[in-house]
Amino acid sequence: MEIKKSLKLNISNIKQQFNNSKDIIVKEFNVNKLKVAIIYLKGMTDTLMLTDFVIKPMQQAKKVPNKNIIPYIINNIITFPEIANETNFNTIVEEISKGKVCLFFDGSNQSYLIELDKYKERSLTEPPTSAVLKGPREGFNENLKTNLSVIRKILATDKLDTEMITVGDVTKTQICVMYLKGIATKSVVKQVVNKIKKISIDGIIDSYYIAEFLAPRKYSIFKQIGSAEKPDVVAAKMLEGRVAILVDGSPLVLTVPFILLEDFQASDDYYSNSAHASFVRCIRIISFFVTILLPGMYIAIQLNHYKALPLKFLVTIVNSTQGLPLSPFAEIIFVLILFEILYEASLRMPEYLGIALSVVGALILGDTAVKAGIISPPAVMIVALSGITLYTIPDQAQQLSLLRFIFTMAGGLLGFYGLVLMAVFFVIYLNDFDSYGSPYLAPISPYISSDAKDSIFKKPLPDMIMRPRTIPNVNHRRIKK
Amino acid sequence: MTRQISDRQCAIMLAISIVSLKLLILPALLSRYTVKYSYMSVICGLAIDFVFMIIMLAIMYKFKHLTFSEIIERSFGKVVRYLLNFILAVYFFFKGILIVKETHNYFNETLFENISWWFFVIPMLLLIFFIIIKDLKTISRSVEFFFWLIAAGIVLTILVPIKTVDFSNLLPIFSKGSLGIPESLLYCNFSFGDYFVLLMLMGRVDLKTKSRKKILWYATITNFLVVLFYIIFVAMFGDISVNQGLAISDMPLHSNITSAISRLDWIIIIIWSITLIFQAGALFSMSCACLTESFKFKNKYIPAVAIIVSIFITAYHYYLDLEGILELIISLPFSIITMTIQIMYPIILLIAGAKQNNNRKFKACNAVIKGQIKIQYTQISKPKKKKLALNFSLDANMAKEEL
Repeated sequence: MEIKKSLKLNISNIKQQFNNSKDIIVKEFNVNKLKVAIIYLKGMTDTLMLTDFVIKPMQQAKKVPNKNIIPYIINNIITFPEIANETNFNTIVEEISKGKVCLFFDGSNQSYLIELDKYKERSLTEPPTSAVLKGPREGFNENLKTNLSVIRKILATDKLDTEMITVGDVTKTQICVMYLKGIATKSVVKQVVNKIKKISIDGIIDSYYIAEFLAPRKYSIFKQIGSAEKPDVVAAKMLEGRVAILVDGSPLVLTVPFILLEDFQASDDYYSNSAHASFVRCIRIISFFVTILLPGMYIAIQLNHYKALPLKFLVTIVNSTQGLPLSPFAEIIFVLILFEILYEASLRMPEYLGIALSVVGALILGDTAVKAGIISPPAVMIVALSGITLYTIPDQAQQLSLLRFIFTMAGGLLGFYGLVLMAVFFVIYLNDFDSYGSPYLAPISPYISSDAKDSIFKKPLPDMIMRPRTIPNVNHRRIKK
Repeated sequence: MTRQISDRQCAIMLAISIVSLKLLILPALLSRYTVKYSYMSVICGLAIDFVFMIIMLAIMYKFKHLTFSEIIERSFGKVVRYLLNFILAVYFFFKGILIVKETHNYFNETLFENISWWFFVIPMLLLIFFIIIKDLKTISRSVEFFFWLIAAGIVLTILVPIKTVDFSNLLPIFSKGSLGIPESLLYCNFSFGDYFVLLMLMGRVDLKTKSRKKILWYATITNFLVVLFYIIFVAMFGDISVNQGLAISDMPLHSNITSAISRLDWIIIIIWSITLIFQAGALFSMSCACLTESFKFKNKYIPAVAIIVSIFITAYHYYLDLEGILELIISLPFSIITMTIQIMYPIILLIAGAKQNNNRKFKACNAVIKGQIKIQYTQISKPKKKKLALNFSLDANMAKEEL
């Protein structure tokens, strides 16, 4: 459909496109005998600014020339700066759906779009999974423009480049690929942009939809695309050469390439003493192994390798597991599933029921089941400890949760032999991964000595003269001589 | 196998290869011939291996961009290439089988009271298949990932019993006469020959000027640790060394410290299991690569399946019969064959190297540099050639490729 010169036709076409919805507001008035119509969607426009900067100036304009009236109105009367010419009817409909205001003039087949969209948006609060003791607490929200502005505030440079792509036939979601020119490699940017452009789907609701399209391996349980909920984290990642992908409607910003070690590094490692940061990272790594291996090792020892335990420990376990109806393997699996149910329920339950259900959950698991002789205290303790260590690395919680089950099965069926085989399998599997040019387990394997300064241990910032070689980047030097 | 692993990864693969077949059953095997001076046999064996390793490295530097198959084909033709690859495939296969049987025995004696053969073999075969179909880059990264753990395990095994050993057990040297050394090296040579790993890595390593030094250093330190291990082993067990069929688990088990810390030997056992599994996978992967070269398979799934089936049949044939497979490996005919192979391949490569040298000495070598300029690369001195090569980003071998 085209834009007609008749104002009435244009208005009628727009209303038809929106099925004569009452949400479409049409304001018609005259400017020096020229009929003008303003069309917008109710609830999505800043009506105050519309009135002050567009309607009032137009209605109160004096000395409007008779010739070239439309350019005069656009350039001299309307005081709002973000105004653009548009001739494509479909684009106009799209933009009105997004909250923009459309200006039609009678006798002209051109329209103007004014960026007066305004939604109710969440404030930039600290994300719950990225809490810090020291450092910035600002997080992203669901508005793309706000998120962009927050990053631009930190990376105040002309080298910050963006590429906007619209994806989703129905949702028309705006996606912004952001990178630092002169730091990020063009090939990675190109790869990301091309992959996003190829997405043909009805709607994109959250950034994770995009993550699944960008992931090199669709069916892998491992995280393949990095993410962050805080602008300082995204900015730091971009300074290392990563590309950020912002999705309108999602507070989670994606980053590529992704390496596993990223999730073991928290933002407050960089806002505190290096020695302490190194210590905490070691704790996280120990927690990682405890999470995935502890339940499996417990079953392996109980079923096949009781000789591994010191005698006193063995006696304690034997005493506490005597008379249980379930085998150790079934018992651990049962408790693991119970914990997963509790976790899921705690996420979904209404707040006012939270306390009551927590008490019930704790009583059922912690006390009643043990007293009833269904499960043993060591099993509860092992699974609880494994559950707590799971959340020292919140970004990997989903993967660790699954891995925990897999290793528990391996330990239960084949003992330590099964655990060893599974560990070898996963190490080989992960070493076969390359995330947009970065080896998944770098800088540990392949070992990149220059990146060891900020891997498991962290050196002070003045020592990090070069950018990490794990992430492809163009300009390697970070600190000038 | 694809190209380009780092020199560090090459060195690590060599190091793992050196330790994998030497610390489990070999100490007891060597003791059959040498009683208390098996460490002398190991020193001699490792020294011979070291010499061959230097030869292999020299060849690798000479033919930086050529794989073993390509070198053989250029010097001796396709038939020789296919034949040598087939022999290598069988060689690596048997080495892998030995490791699989050692691993089975190891788990049977240490971790489990009695592990079912099916429970052991089937998951192992699935994992080996998974390793075989992966490329060299993945395997070398995985080995690199576990390297420090393995190294720590070996160091721990050496250090833990060190306080309790009686070094007087090392004497007298040559209690069975000095013929024990060559005898043990003859019958147990299959556990040596680790430089064969370099055969498979030829043309696939990103060699730099300092790479040779790095690889030799890794090999030297690993050899030193192995010798130290044997010294501690003999010092610990003395005349009963021949009865310690699982040296690496027996040593921490009989130490006072481990019982105080409570089953530290279990940590060593688990670390050692990782080493064995990796080495088995790497050996079968090399065997698969050689088979692919031999029979020109289009993808590696067919030779991989063939190898897995062969492992299954061979392992089943020698089911729980480690003695049977050991008797085969230390039998005279088998020992002579493996020794011949271990000596033959470096000699063949030396001949290939000399052949290539002769070609270059008497023929003019024209190189097209950056599209247009031709230089005559004839009888000019080596330092000048190097300088030219550096200036025009061209290696002597690559220059010949351009012809």
